[in-house]
Amino acid sequence: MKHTHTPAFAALRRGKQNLLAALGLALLAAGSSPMRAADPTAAAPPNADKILRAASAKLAAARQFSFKAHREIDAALLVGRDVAEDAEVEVTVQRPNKVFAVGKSQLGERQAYADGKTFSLVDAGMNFYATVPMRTSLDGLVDKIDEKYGFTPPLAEFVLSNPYKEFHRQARTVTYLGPGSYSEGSPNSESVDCHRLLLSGHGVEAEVWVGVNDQLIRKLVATFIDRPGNPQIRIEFADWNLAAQVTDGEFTYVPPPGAVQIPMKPTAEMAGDPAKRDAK
Amino acid sequence: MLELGQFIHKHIQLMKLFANSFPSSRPGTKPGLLLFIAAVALLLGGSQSYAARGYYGGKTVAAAGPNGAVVAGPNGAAAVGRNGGVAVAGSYRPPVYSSTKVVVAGPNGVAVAGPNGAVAVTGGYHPPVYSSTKVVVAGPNAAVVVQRSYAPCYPYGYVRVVPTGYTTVYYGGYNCYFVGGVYYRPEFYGGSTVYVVVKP
Repeated sequence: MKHTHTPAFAALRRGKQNLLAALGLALLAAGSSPMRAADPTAAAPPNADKILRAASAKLAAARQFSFKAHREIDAALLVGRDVAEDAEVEVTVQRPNKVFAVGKSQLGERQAYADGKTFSLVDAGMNFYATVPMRTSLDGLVDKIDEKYGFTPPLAEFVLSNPYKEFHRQARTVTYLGPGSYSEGSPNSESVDCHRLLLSGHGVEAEVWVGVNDQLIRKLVATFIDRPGNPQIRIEFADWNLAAQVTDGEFTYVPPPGAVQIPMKPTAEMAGDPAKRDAK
Repeated sequence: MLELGQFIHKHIQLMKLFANSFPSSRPGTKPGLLLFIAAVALLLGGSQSYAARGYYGGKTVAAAGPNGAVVAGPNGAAAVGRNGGVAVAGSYRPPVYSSTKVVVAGPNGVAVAGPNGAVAVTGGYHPPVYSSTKVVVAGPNAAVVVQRSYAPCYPYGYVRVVPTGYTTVYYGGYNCYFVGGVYYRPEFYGGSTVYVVVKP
């Protein structure tokens, strides 16, 4: 599993000013349009915040669910790499405190297990693993892992008890962009009508596609507008199952023969030269 | 570590710079907090931290050390991260990026210390700054937003890949990889597998 972090939305700055200016011009143009003026029955755009709230509520209400995602991260967002990461991620959740996630990319396979008592991180390719105590809910898991170890499990924002709150923690504004048609990619899959929302935050803008009929999140494209080249994270969701059949054993890591346990270093212990640090 | 005399001199110098940078009548600023942060930064900066003062366009501007930071802009503010922060600002000065922590202050901005190391800040017209770990951003109204970390930066002494030709050995109580006279000890850091470079 790669440590994916659904983007944090940092401060809007010059981009916001430009965006607001563009929106202002667009509204001005729309307002002065003769067709617009002559059509008083034209429907107002859907309420973007309401759509986001509904999508979040749907996830929050699911007790056991699973989904898959295809995630691409531009190289500029990856430390020490010059090639974009292309990963397939699968997440299984049992509320309130269990999650299993596996991510496969060109760099190998990572797995994360949390069963409400422990958290295990696995490098399947190297057969390394680390297990640390973690008696907490999913919300607590995400916060504690991030706080102590400096990362979050893949797509963690989507398994929290209140995704809406998490979205709004990161986004200042939610805007309705328009309709869209989304296909999961397989040749036989039917396209899904979606709402396209723009979440604007600090340094990042995210376009989120939400299914019109099922309120499920289908796609997320986050653009880091304050970084050179405006790198992106692109996530396409598939195979949502809000009534997944799971067993408790799926969330507890059992080391296979030959697996090597290695330390999971807290970020607080990583300062300075590790060789000198460990020699003390 | 710094000599005591050097430390006191630098501390006083920095206190003066900060004092000059924060008119007490300006609302929304917290010179007390910044002075505290600056003092802590000096204490934690170790031998590599230093204070400096330069001039740009006839105004006092900031200077930053590799492991510590100092700052002073005409209307700027500054603070320093726990693990060697970075520095700072002043009017018309761009923000500063750090591989560890970042502290930045824009014109009329304020500096804020985050819970896990001071990272920081700004307001004014400067863009926000990303840190590889946490970021605390203060807007014009001093609203603080703490973001989750994204991609980790690997500290000195860690590598992502072990050179080819290694042999697996048990060294120092750990399973390691040995190649080129160097041991590489695997650890998870920031969700990724990294290797500590151990030179016997």
